[in-house]
Amino acid sequence: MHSNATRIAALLVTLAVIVGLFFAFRGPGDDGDATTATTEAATATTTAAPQAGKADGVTGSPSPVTAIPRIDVVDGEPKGGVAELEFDKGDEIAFEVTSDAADEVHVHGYDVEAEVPAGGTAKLDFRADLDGVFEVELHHSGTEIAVLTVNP
Amino acid sequence: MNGRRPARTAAAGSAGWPAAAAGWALLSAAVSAALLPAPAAAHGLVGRSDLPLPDWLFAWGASIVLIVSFVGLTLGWREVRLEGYRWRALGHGLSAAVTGPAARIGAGAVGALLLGFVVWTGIDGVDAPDRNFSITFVFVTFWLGLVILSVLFGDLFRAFNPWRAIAHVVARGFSLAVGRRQTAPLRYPERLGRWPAVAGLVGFVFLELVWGQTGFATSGVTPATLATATVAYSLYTFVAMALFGIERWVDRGETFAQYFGMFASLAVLEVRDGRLGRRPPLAGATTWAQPTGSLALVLVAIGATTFDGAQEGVLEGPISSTFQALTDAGLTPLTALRLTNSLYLAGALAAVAAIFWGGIYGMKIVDGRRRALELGRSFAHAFIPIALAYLIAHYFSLVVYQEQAQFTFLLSDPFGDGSDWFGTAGSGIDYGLIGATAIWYVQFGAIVGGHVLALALGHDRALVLWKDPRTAAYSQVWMLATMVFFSVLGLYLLSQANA
Repeated sequence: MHSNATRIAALLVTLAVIVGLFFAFRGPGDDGDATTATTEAATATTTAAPQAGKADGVTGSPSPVTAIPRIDVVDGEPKGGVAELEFDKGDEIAFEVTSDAADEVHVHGYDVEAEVPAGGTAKLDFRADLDGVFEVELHHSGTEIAVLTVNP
Repeated sequence: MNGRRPARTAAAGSAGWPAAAAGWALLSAAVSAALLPAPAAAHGLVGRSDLPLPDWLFAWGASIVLIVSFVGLTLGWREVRLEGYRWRALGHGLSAAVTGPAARIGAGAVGALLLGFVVWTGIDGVDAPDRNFSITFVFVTFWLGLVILSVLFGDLFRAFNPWRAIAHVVARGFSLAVGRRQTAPLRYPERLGRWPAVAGLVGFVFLELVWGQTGFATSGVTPATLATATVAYSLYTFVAMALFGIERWVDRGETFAQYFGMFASLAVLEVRDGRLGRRPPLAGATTWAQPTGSLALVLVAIGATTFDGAQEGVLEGPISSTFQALTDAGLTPLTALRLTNSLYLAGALAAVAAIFWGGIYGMKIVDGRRRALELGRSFAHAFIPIALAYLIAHYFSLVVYQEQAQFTFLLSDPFGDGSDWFGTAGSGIDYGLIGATAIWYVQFGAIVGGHVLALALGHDRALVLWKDPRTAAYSQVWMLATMVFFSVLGLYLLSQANA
């Protein structure tokens, strides 16, 4: 009975050490702390433009001046496949959608909507205050045009 | 719009599509274009998918699983603790309140009403799955929520089981009408064990994960399909209850009673002979796996979640290329998608079974006298916590987000027709309620915690089988390897989901 208690104690101590190590050395990728999050949010406005440039997989004619990703919809399909937009929480999310047919751009989760007239451009601009993976679709046709990833 | 919008049905137009080869090629190209990228709203309900578990957390999870296993194995426990547990009755007042006639009738009535309401909203409500009460209620509140409640509070579903409640009322009425008690005309064949429930579970999972993918990625099962399936399952259940007896069928063949009962076996509370009592946590699982088919039930539960997790990440590429090959071979996109998903679901179930049996055959090295099937059945219950961990890790965020819908607009406007019964129709899902970091820790905690519980159950059983702690520990090297495999697989699937 005594030896069992010792064993359980040893097990608990080992677990505690592991958990301790875990919190001491959790990976460099973890910036989920409230403090870092706030700092990021505070600096978001100044770093918005270069951060937005992180979005890749967007075709069209990327202008190096604005670096705002653009998704061109032709015949109801996004040119070059579904775009992948990636931002960090607290960033300013900005992207443009052009379409040859009138539709409405809808960002799931955020529930941000913008009309795009036939042959025109819709500009979307909002703050990344939710993390996760969100679908961006054309409301009327239901086509998925982009996947928006917001990292914490 | 608070996330309340009709889901798209991309394949809706496929019926009227001209059969010309060029037309099919165009359509399949369009469909695969829609399919190839991550199906972001994986369950067709919430507008947010989980971020992949970061690599560093994956590495930590896998390491902790390994270390805990090693420590558990070497220090282990040397005496049987869970097996042959003692059940202690709780106070009479509490017991009577929980198991008394009022509670029984009340719970049965609630269950029956909800069953009816699911069918009613399914038929009469709006087609959009995310705005119809039935879909969220069945696939989230019932299917996932009751698992959690069963683990916490015991076999609640037994009281709320609508089929059991309705059948008892009908049987009572029939007995009164003919003036004598009816007995079941057939004896339930004991060698069938839980297999009817296993078949039912496969059917449910097929409906949820394969048949429902009609809208390519987002629309899921339609409310009308769900209502039809509910009516069909109810009829089947009533016939089976009439043939074999109500309680007999609930104890063996009824899918949901068996599924929730499996998770309830981990709970502390247990009703025995009409009295509420408590037992050590996990202990109930030690006697759960005796009937034939129990092992299959656990493995299907693990395999189904594995498939659902894998299709969002690891299997996404293979699934789209198989789908492409099948459409190229001339199948319609819908048939091709269902066939593809069926193949991969079957593959996931087979893979999970193969991993399990690998561990069992390894264990035979320790004890060649025992048959593999006997060993497999002996350790089946140890995998219930892993099935639970998979469910929590994979569906936690879905439950948190979708239950907000369940208790706001789906409660006030269950038919999606614009009514506002309780004044909550205008509210929606707050995706800011929990963030990605919190979800990651829950996923990580579920897998690691489930692994520890599985380890405990496995150890205890090994001591019962081999008495000698040394042999038991050796046998557990294999069982442990299997459990480590499942835990690391679970973490890996999470690290690849939506990546």
